[in-house]
Parts: sequence; C-alpha cells; structure tokens
Amino acid sequence: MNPIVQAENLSRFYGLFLGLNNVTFTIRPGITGIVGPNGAGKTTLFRLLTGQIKADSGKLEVFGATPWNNPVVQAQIAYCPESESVPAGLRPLEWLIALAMISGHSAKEAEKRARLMLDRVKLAPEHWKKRLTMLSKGMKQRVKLAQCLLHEPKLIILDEPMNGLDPMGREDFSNVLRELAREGVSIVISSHILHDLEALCSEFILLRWGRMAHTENEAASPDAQKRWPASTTFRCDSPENLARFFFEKKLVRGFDIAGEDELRVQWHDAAQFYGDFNALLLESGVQIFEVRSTASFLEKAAGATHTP
Amino acid sequence: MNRPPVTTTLSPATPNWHRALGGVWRLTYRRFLAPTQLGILAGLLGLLALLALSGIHKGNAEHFARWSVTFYLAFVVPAIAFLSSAGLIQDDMKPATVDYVLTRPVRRSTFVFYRYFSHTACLQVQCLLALSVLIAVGVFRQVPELASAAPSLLVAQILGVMAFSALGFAFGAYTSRYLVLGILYANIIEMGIGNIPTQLNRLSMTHHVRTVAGSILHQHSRLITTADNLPASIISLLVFSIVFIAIAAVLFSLREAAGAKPKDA
Repeated sequence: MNPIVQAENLSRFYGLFLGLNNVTFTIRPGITGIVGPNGAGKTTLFRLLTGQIKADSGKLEVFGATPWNNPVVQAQIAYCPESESVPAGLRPLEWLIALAMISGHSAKEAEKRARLMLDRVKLAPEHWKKRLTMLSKGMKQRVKLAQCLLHEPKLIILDEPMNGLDPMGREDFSNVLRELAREGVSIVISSHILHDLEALCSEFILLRWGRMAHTENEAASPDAQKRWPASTTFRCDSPENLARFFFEKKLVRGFDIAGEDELRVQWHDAAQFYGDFNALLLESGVQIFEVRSTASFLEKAAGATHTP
Repeated sequence: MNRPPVTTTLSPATPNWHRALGGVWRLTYRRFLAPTQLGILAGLLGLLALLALSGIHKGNAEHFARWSVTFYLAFVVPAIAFLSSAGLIQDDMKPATVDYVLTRPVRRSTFVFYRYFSHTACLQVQCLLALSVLIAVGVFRQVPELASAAPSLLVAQILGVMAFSALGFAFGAYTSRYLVLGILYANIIEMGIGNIPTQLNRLSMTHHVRTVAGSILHQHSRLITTADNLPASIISLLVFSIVFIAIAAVLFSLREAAGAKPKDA
C-alpha cells in the first residue's frame, strides 16, 4: 500500500525549544496510533501534517504534496484538536453548517451533512442548538469529531479525542473510527489511554522528546503484535508458592506480593508464559482466582520511551 | 455504536469560493449576534446617545456637523472599526479558528478577504445603528437640515469603516500588540501629519473622512482642511482599504498561527 504520509528528516523547533527532531517515518492507510509522553512532539507533528506550521528542515508530504497552506491537501484531511477551544456564541449545528460550507458544500448540503454527522457521533438532538461553550467536555469531543467527518476526508487526524469521554463514549467513539477505517478512511490518533489505542490501531509511532523512540515497523512487528503484557497480576491462595514456581521456571525478572492473595509478576519472556499458560498454572498447584495483565505491549513500548 | 453504520450517498466536497465565503459569513455574523456582543453594542449605543445629547446644542446645525464629523466620524467610528477588526484577526490566529477553519481547503489570504468582507458588512450595520442614534438625537435637538446632512455622514461612515477595518486587519495580523501600534499610528499619522496643512496630510485617513463628510455638508465647508475634492478622497479611502487588506492577507499567509510558540508544542 502506498503511504499517505512521508516524512524525511523532519525537524521543527520553537526557538530553543524542541518540537520534532529529525524524524523519518511513513504512515500507511489504516489506523495509526501516535504514542508518547506530554511534550513528546505529538501535537507538533499534527500541526505539521495539517499545514498549520512549517517544518524547519526535512521533507513532509501528505498525499504526495506539502501540506502548508495547500487547499488540495487540506480538502483531503480533517483535524480534531486536543484543545477545547470552540467558537463562543455558536451552536453545534450552525457551526458545522458553516464549516461544511467552507469545505465547499452548498448551504442545503451542509445542513444535511451537519445533522447526519451529529447523529453519527451520537450527540442527542436536544444539544444541537445549545451554545458550544455550554456543552460538556464529552459532548464537545463528539461535536469536534462530527466536524471532522463533514467533508468526507481521506485522512482524519485526532489529537487525544478520548479525553473527557466516559467508557461508553469511548466505545462509541472507537466504533465510529472502526467504521470509518472500514470505509477506507485513514486515521492518525494520539491518546494517553493506551488500551484504547491498542484495540484500535494497526500501527504505531512512538515519540519521545521530539525523536522517534520506535519506528512503526518495530512497534507493529509480528512479535510485538502478539501483545503479551509485560507484567501480570495474579490473585491466588498462595502468592509465595506461585512466585517460587515462576522463579524455578526462570520465567520472571521480578515480582511483588501485595496483601495476602495478590502477586504481581514482571516477565522475562511473557510469550513463554502465555504460550503455555494453562499447563503452567496447573503445574504450579496454586489455586488461581484471577489473572489480569498490568501492562500491555504498547505500555511497555511507551514505558521504554521514558527510560533512556 | 449499537446502530448500524450510517450509509449515505454523500460525495466529497471540492473547494468552492462562494460557498466558502458563505461559511465565513455565517461564522462572522453569528459572533455579532452573541448575547455578550449585543449587550456591548446596546451599551455603546446608549453611551453615544448620552454623549450626543450633552454635546449637541439645540437647533445648531453647524455644531451638530462639527460634533458628528470631528468626534463621531473621525474618532468613534475609526476606533471601533480598528479595535474590532484587529481583535478579530488576532482571534483568528487562536486555536478556535486555526484548528477548525484554517485546516479546511481555503487559502489563508482568501480567508482574510472573506473575513474582511463579512466583518465589515456586520460593522456597517452596527455603525448604521449608531448613526441612527446620532440622527435621532439631532431630531430631538431640533437640528435643521438633518435630511441633507445624513447622506454625507453615511457615505463618510461607510468609507471610514472600510478603511479603518482594513487597518485593523493589517495591524492585528502583524502583532498581538496592535493597540500600541494603533495608538502610535493615530498620534503620528492621524493627529500629527493629518493636521499639517501640506500635501502630506493626505496620508491621514481621517482627513479624507472629514473631506467626504465636509464637502457634502457644504454649508459647513470650513471643516475641510485642504482643497481636496470629494472623488480624490473617496478614491484615497478605497485605495487605503485595498492596500491595508492586501498587507493583512500577506502577513496572515506568511505567519504561523496557533502552535507556532513553544508553549503550544
């Protein structure tokens, strides 16, 4: 598949401050997650992709063209920012109609689309005519997503879109994104809620301090895609015996016993344990009440970005 | 989502200039209809009425003309047009506009022109209300020959709003400290050079506004400070408008907006 975004030695500085530092990557069609701590350069990357700021050096192409002040590229992309800033005094429906018209739709078509998209993101019609500034954070997020869908973009860029959404809202949001991906729309999304990202994304870009901590190919390698958690918590009748058993099998690199019935384990090789999960737990002879992962592959990868 | 996916026959949009203008117009006029804006407008109109009542003498046409031209047209209208326009273009460099409007298929320079047309049109309506208040006070004060004065005031006001809005766009696109720049401009060009009785005073836009208003109010022709004729002043104000809005468009296109500062990274 041809990449939709190609960046080569891309850098962006803010005076002495670092935004992005010499990053090279490609984004292919599908859902791509952007992961990194605050200040990693995620928003800078999004602003470069949407043509709001210019790169200091390097090359960036979105759909084969430079995005800065380029209506041809902008007609194909949509952006949902992290910022909660919305125009004061406007209501969701009228705001979306105006934005759809700016994208090139007639007033009639714009209204039709605005209603359709507000319905699609499940914003109840009684909120359509309230002032944007009066809406809750979750409702604003839905309106922000709706404005992305107005002009049938080929690429949607979402900066922390799950912020402020309750679990049901996050599920709704994820389903809309999956539907869009099935319809052939590519999505680039950042979120601090890594489980949601894992469930959504086929590829990842990991950023740290403006650099690429991992390329998307590493993160999405077949090994990584097994997504074994880096650590696991067991609730059992004898945490000490279970810990001893795992040590004898040379499966763990560390553990922590919390309370009378809880054991947290960091794996040497998670794949080895999960590959023979049932047999190993039976062999341990310990009565297991609950097993839950405490860190996924993405959390592990993102965690690695914190340690030099 | 529990319901099945929405299936429609929607087709992708292609950039279209007059639809984009319609969209920008909708975004712009809604600002003017926000309750806060309407409250401010009502307050300003009330203040203008009070000032006019205390400043305009009963039955004195010359005094009315002097007050309405030198205070209202040469100070109130320029100040409101400048501040409102500069504030708007500064707002357009903030995320609420940048993230949602400037990521759409409209060039920044084109957006500035559309914004200028829309904003100036709304300002003209506001200023028309203000002029109506002024005329109403004139009627109340039994000022003679108001009917002949009103068109001249209206023409001068329309041109003044256009020119000073464009100036506001240019200064606002250049710096967030447009107020400082505006005060400097007002002192040096409008109050300084504009009052020097040489050819240089043609650099002053309020000089041309006074000329437009004063030459039609021919009975009070001493308001005209030079021998400038009406067409020259009208053309000058139009040229100033075009030049300043072109400067604003260039500056806005070249400038990075929200996200260009370290705190936005």
